[in-house]
Amino acid sequence: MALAAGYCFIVTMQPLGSSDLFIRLRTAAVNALDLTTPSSGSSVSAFDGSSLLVTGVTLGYMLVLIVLSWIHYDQRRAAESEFQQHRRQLEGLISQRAEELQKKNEELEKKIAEIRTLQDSVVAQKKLASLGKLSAGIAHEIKNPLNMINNSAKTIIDFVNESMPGYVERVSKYLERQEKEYFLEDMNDIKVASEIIVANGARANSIINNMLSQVARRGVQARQVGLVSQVDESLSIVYHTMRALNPFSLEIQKEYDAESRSFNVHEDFGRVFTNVFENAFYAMKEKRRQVGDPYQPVLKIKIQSVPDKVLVLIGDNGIGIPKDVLENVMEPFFTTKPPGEGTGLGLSMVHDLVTANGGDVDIVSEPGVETTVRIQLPKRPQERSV
Amino acid sequence: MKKILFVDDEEGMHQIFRMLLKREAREGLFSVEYFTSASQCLAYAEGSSSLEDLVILTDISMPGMDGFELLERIREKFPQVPVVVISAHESDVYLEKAKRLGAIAYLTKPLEIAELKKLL
Ligand SMILES: Nc1ncnc2c1ncn2[C@@H]1O[C@H](COP(=O)(O)OP(=O)(O)OP(=O)(O)O)[C@@H](O)[C@H]1O
Ligand SMILES: [Mg+2]
Repeated sequence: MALAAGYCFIVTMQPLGSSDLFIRLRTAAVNALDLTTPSSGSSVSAFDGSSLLVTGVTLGYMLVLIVLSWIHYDQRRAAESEFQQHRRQLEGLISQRAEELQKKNEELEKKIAEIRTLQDSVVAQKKLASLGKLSAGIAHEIKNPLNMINNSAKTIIDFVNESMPGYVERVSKYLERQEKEYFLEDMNDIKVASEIIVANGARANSIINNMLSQVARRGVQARQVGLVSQVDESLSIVYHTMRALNPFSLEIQKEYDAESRSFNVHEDFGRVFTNVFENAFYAMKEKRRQVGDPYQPVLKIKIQSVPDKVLVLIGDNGIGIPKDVLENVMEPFFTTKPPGEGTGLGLSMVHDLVTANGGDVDIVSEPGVETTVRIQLPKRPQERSV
Repeated sequence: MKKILFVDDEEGMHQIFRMLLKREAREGLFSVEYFTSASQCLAYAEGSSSLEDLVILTDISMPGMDGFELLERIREKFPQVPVVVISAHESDVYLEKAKRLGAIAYLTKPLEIAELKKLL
């Protein structure tokens, strides 16, 4: 026991290792060890009086030291509990701060997400704007050479119609029968060819004008055009574009009543019908892709005059629109087309233009079977606000 | 004498084809029948007494039956009649499809006199 205490004591006092007291105590402890542990060969009876005294003093010291270290331990315990308390306080504070930070973080993340969506839509709009600018730019670039072609072809037609018959008559007098026949045929072909140029130049021109009209045209005087011809022109543009990209056979059923032929619309309605036809063709193209060859696409166009309205019904037997999608189709930027293929602006533009003219649009669809877009236009003149 | 069946829904193309090969036609190398739809052409072929000298030149994109469908039907019913496919597009996809379905050539618009002559 004492031995253990001695060790303990020495160990406890280690930090004071350099002091005198320690050296003395250590000597005493060593002596005590000598006492209690008889070394090999030395006799147990050989007690040394002074050793005993030293041992007594040592034990006394040890006792005092044990008490002292107990007191020290006690103080340390107090300090420790104080420390623990501080630590708990600190921990509380830290976790509170951490919570606050977490909250701030979440707020920030939310803000970042908001900014991202905003950025996305800005980017989308920018893309759209630059796409519009691009196609407008290309359209203008093409328009110039096209104008020259058209103008030149017109001068040829004028020449062919006015001056040429006289020349031909005079010259042909000098030709043999066969030669004369060929000559007349050739001269006539000059006319035929220039008429083809003029007709197709006009067609290309109308495609380009339509492209340009897709880009906002503010400040340009609005023109009224026949509803029926506007529907037909849009159909022809979309039909030719679509079949050029993706040829497939299509049945078109038209049913225009006589009265609706006198009805005029704002020329911007070309964009309305173009967009509706584009959607219909897309839906039929998709259906064909899904079903394959037995599918026969049918486009039905009906223009009907009722007491104070004119109805335009455009129906396709394409993929149709599921109910949950149908609710959203007129939202700007809503599209089910793969990225990059659709802007989702088509029907929202249709809706805006039709309602701005006092009309209404609605869509009925049987998913997988057919879709019909119904545009109603008031017969009385409307103020345009777009 | 060869007889060309020329199929294109745009009549302007008929005129252009006629004007391009006017000289050759005058030499009496061939005659041409024009059709604005594939079904008209098919009906004509079905009603022909001799298929010997027929050659079909057809546009691809046409409303109703398109050029590929006509090509397929001709291959089925009259495999001895050669078919040339014409398109406004220089598309590998079309070219492949035309070959696969058995067209003897694939021409793009604008048509070149030299190419047409070579074919004939
Ligand atoms: N006739 C239709 N048949 C089936 N779905 C349609 C039809 N018309 C519209 N839709 C659906 O409505 C969505 C929105 O149409 P909208 O015209 O506004 O944009 P989009 O056609 O997708 O894009 P964009 O008009 O720019 O090409 C389409 O993505 C499609 O899912
Ligand atoms: Mg659309």
